Amino acid sequence: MDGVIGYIVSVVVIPAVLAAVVGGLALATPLRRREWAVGAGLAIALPLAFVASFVSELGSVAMLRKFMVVEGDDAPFERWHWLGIACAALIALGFATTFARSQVARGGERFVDLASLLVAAVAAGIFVQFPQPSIASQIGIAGLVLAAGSAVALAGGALLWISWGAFGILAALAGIGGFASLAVMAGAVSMASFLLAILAAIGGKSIRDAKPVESAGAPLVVVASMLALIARGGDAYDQSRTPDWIWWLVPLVPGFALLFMRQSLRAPSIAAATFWRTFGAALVGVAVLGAAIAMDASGGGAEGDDADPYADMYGG
Amino acid sequence: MRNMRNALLLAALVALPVSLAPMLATAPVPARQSATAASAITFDPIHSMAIFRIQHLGAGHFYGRFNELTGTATWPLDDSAAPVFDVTAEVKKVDTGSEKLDGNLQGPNFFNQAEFPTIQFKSKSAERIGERHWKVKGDLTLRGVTKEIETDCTVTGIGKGPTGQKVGFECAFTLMRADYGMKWGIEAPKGALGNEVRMTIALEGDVAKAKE
Repeated sequence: MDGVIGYIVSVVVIPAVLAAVVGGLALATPLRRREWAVGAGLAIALPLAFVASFVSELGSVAMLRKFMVVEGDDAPFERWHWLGIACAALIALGFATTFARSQVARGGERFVDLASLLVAAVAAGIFVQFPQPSIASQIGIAGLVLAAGSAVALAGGALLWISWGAFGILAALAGIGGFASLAVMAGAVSMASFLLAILAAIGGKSIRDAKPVESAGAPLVVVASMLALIARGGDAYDQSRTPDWIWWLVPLVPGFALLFMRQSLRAPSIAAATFWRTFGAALVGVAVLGAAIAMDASGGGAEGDDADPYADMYGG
Repeated sequence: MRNMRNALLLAALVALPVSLAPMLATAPVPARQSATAASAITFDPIHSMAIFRIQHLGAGHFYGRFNELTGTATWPLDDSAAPVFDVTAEVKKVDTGSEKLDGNLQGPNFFNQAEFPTIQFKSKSAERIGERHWKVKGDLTLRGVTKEIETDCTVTGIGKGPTGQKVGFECAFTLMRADYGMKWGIEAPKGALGNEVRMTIALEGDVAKAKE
């Protein structure tokens, strides 16, 4: 079992803790009083969790070989490695979005958010190509980023809790689909979201004039883009019976915060409002994951090997 | 005296080919050189497969296979020259007996079927080891990485079927999967699956009928 624990620690726990430390500087220190710091902190932390997990799993060479010849490396660039590059680029876009928001007049932030989301969608549509790319598939990727942006915008103060669940579902789907590497990378983002949600709650209580975590600005763009791209990447390589629509639905799960919006708006406290929004998204998320598990189990595949600690990662 | 001279002559005649035999046996032969016309052989996918063996969790040896190999060989049936192979395996034809495991092997952590749908071997040169027994060198392309390998090939038989003459080959080699970028499970998670993969390729093909 040491091998499994060591592996999980290196590709999930350490990247998530690293992201929590970076994000925690903005969420649980006096920086929390600055709106830009909260936005930038989250925009760095969440993609950082994915990138750190990616590098831990595959090495930085997997991304670098797209742009340069690396000595001693003769492996070709694999299309799914775009996910690592995209997440690294999202850190820069998150910074730019936060900076642009700080420069515009009050009320102009929404235009910055929209412009940033459009940049992310167009860039993803042009560059992030998975196997058998076509014009339709690339428009689909761009469209999913935009749709996820609309959905994530509804998460409000429950952004990090919903992000925890949504990336967790993607990790589970990737695991079901036989894509262990993507499962651990999405798992790292999920765990980072959870740790950041805890830190955000602690910081919100303990720091006077703390700015709230909101599903706007750089965090919105980053979470929406990551959800859309990881979902498309997972779907493109999926070896299970999970239908495409399940993969497409996961980035939209945050939008189901709407289900209990009335209760959320009437909630007596921020914590209660956060609960109702999370509850709505969680209901749909659990249903989606349950459907995927049921469909995969109904396929009549061979029995798993319970004695194999890696069984979920590569079957057996 | 004459008897003695005849005996020495006979001994010399016997000794000459025996002493030359090892030199002839190990002399490299260009892949396409043939004393007689080489026969074109098209592999029959139903009777052609690749078996792989890999160590699981540092314990047992796990076997799987690629079904329905396709490709061609050229080889003179009198074994006067080396066989020349061009063999292709489709990753989607991997068969471990577990549908889920097959899917995982086709995924990006292993063969990445979506991006690298085939595995190909093309021979470049060969060296005779013995009768119908050759050491064949060639390029193996796996996951987009091409590396030269050396495989031990035996002609297992020449038979007759309802459709004509058939030839069987069996080739074996060992590769390190990390050399082809398939690293999952070697170092991380450590020891989940071995690096060394032993391959046995069983091929049966139809000999093209000579044009009349």
